[in-house]
Amino acid sequence: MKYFIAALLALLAVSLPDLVAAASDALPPDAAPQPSRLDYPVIAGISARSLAWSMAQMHLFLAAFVLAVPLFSIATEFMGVVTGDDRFDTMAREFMKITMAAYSLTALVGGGLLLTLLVFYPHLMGYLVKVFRGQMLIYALLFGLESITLYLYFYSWDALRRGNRKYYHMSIGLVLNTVGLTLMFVANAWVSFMMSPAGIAPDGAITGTVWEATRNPLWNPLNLHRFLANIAYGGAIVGGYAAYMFLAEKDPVQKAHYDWMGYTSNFIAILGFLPLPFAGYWLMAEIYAYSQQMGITAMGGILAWLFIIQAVLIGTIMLAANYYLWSGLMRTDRGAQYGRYVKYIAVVIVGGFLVWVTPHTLILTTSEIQNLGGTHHKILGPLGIMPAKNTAVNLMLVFTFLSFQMFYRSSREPVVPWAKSANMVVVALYVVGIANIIGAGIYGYITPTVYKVGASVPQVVTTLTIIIGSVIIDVFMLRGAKSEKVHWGRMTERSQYALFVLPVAFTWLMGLMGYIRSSLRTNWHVYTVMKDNSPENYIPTLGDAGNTITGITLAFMAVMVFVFWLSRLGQTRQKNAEISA
Amino acid sequence: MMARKYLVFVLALVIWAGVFYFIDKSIMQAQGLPVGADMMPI
Amino acid sequence: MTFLRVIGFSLALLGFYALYAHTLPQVEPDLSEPEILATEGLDMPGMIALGEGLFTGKGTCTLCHNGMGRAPDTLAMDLAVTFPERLLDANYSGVAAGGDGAQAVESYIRESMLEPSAFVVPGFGKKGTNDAVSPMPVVDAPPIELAPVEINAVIAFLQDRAGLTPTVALPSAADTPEADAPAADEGLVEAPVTDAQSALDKFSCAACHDLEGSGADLGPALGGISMRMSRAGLMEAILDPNAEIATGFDAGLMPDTFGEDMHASELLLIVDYLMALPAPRPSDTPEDEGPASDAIDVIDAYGCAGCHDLEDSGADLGPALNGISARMDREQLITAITNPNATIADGFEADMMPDTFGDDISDAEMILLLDYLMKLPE
Repeated sequence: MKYFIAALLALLAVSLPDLVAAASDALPPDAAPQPSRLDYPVIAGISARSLAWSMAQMHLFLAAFVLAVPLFSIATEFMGVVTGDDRFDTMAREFMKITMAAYSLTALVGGGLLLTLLVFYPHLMGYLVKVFRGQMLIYALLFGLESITLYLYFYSWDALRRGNRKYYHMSIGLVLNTVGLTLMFVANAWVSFMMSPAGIAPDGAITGTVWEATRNPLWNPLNLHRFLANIAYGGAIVGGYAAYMFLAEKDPVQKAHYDWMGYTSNFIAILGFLPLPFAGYWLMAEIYAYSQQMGITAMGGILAWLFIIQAVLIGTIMLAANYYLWSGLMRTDRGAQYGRYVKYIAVVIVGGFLVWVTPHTLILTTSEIQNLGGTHHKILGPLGIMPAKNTAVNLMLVFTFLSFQMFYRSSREPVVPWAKSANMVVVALYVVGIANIIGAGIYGYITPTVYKVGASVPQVVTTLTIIIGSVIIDVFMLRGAKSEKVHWGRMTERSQYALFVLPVAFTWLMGLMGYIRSSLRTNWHVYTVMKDNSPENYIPTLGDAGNTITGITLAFMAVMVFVFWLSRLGQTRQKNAEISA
Repeated sequence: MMARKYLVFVLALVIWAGVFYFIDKSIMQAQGLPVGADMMPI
Repeated sequence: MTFLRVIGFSLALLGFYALYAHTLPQVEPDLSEPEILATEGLDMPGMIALGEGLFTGKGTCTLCHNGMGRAPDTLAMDLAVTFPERLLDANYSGVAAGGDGAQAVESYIRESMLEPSAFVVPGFGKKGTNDAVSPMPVVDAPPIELAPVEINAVIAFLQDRAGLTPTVALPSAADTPEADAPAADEGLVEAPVTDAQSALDKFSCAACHDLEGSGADLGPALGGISMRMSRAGLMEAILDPNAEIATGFDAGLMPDTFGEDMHASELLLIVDYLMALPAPRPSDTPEDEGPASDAIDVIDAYGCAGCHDLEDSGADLGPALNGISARMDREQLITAITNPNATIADGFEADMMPDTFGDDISDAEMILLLDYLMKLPE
């Protein structure tokens, strides 16, 4: 209980830091600093932006992982308590084991990022400190609390594993997650303030409270988007770990364990991933509402091509996740009967993927425009516009869910007498739902923009209705179902590579999205308030950004290999000791 | 017995169509966009 | 072994993403310093042309004022009808309410740019505000930041479109914004020339356009241009040459940097001079030549000597080509021709030389040209 009070107090302190560190009256309402190009330190020819970019992105990768894993670790732990199945508990502990080694690296890189920003962008940091005042100190305090609860949560695992003590352990986990999420929300406030400043005068003079600056227009959309993405990301990374262990282990029991862990991680990744497009849609809508200029910079200007790469990345993630689910059908003997549907799903997913990568407004050279007879391709053009893309993404989501549902059912044989009829109701739901999604898409074609945007909402709701509707029906239909034996470990080696696609693609995708989000500010540190006059205040080309993102991803992969190796170090030594004894 | 399965299917189709029509209609109305016969602005 | 295979697989995937990023068009960042307009001496047609450029360019008006339904499609509507309607609209109670005539329209437009929410056209308000709040940004605030003289230019442009005589004040010396000059050595602009002939020479117009017998045919002939274009149209064509391309000519050839490099007074000199040019007699038109067969033909066809000092052309917009072999090898020269902005010689500006020669010059022509240039003495 006292943890809860502590966490509540911490939350209060974050939202109202003036209570804790009241200094606002002493500050005169100065305008935001406007450093000129010469005010930016040049040190040993280091590219300040590349350094800050790499540090920030690396910190974000590690932090996303470290924040996400405790979230689904505690969920898995809870599953263990509910089902009484000890495997869940073992797996939850293994999730945490990987996290521990990554945690100190997160702090280390975070410190490096802070140092980089203070050295190379002193004016910006000075201004942000003025705006957020005591909140930054509270952030440091929270970081300490995060460390304590994280270590407590992991190292007390075996001591508090059984009986009533388990609930103490889970309470620690709850505090850990509360603190972790608060940390992220606070950091998000600073980042979103730079995009959509609030609580200040047009010249940057601070007029409002810290809470007003925190609660800026893009804060909550960003919070939701990052929260979901973190879960998907954490799941993907742990899945990569499990896949590697699956390939490396020879012992069938261990293999079965890691196959199950890989499956669960993939499930978590997809669970976080499915609602992500909708969160992205909300974020984009809020960006448009905040500033049409900014929205158009993102969707129609220099950055438009980025969304093509994004589509390719998301497409590979979808294909890999689906491929993994299809491979999983062979874990049960019943699974084979679903195998014949796989090819149709594959066609829809690949088709949707192709529609999605079709660019809308092509930035072409003059001669290309003449050859094409316009900026939109005659045949491909219609596939590039919003209704087509919305239809494609919703169909891809529906069919990915279908893959999952098939896998789920493959290990359960319904016993209720009305199973066949219920199944027909589900099939009808899919048929009507898909028709509705396509219908709304066609409607969007023949109507003006306002209607197009309006028509995309029923599509999203339809997708969710299909998912929720069939889950509800399945729950009742499969009540007391005869469960088929699942042969965990009966997986091809090739299927495991799908689990490597996820973390690689996710990491690169996150790097890309970070590039887009930062680029939206164009040449502003704080949009419309504080100009970026540094020598690198321009948006880098796609190729340059791609190189940087690839470099950071490589570095992160190297760190992860080190982290995984570290987490296994303990076991390896023990085995040697047994042999020598 | 088979016939009953398909009867349920057709029935479900009709009911789901009704459900989705209702959903679409209320969403479009909530957004202040025309519904029904007015849906086609051209 | 497993480890290596997994790493190899991941690296291959990563490599694919990195390569893919390079296959898409690379949008080069605009590194130029913010444009500082020297508007002193601009007349009203010049203001209207400037306003049109701002409306579609820096002002970013057409981002929303287009056919997409975000904001009224200003350029498509008949402003001569719309403005009087707005002034008399029962819901409009701003500075120009009930007014009439060009002066009232000026007040109305200015108010709509500086206080967009003063009157919101029904259906275009921010969502959920019942058309009380406009989604339009204030144009003199960041990120658009139009200067007062620029706002006047946009008003003049819109008044002109409504068939009214612009009522805004013409720019004076005080309106030319002071250069903040963050990088002191770059801000130097040459003093404007004072007669039309020197202005035409300074920007080497005759190198590409047929002008009083120059016979160049890279761009349309300038003789009798007044019969084909209005004064404002001509200004627009100089400032934004790629907006419209005359049939039979290539886009991207004419530098689009004159808007920054020319003083307004120079632009006016050139335009006045050209508008007065008579149409050429039919016999003046040079007959169409076949593909160039020797190096001199190639040089003439692409107008090299118009900007580079070549033999005795004395042009100095680009580096001298005499003795180029001492400074570049053949490979470097090819790159400099096909991708001129890759490296810029000291003291010269980027984006002046067309970057379309790679597509336009045939291989045979390129060989002729290179052989010739590499042998040129100092």
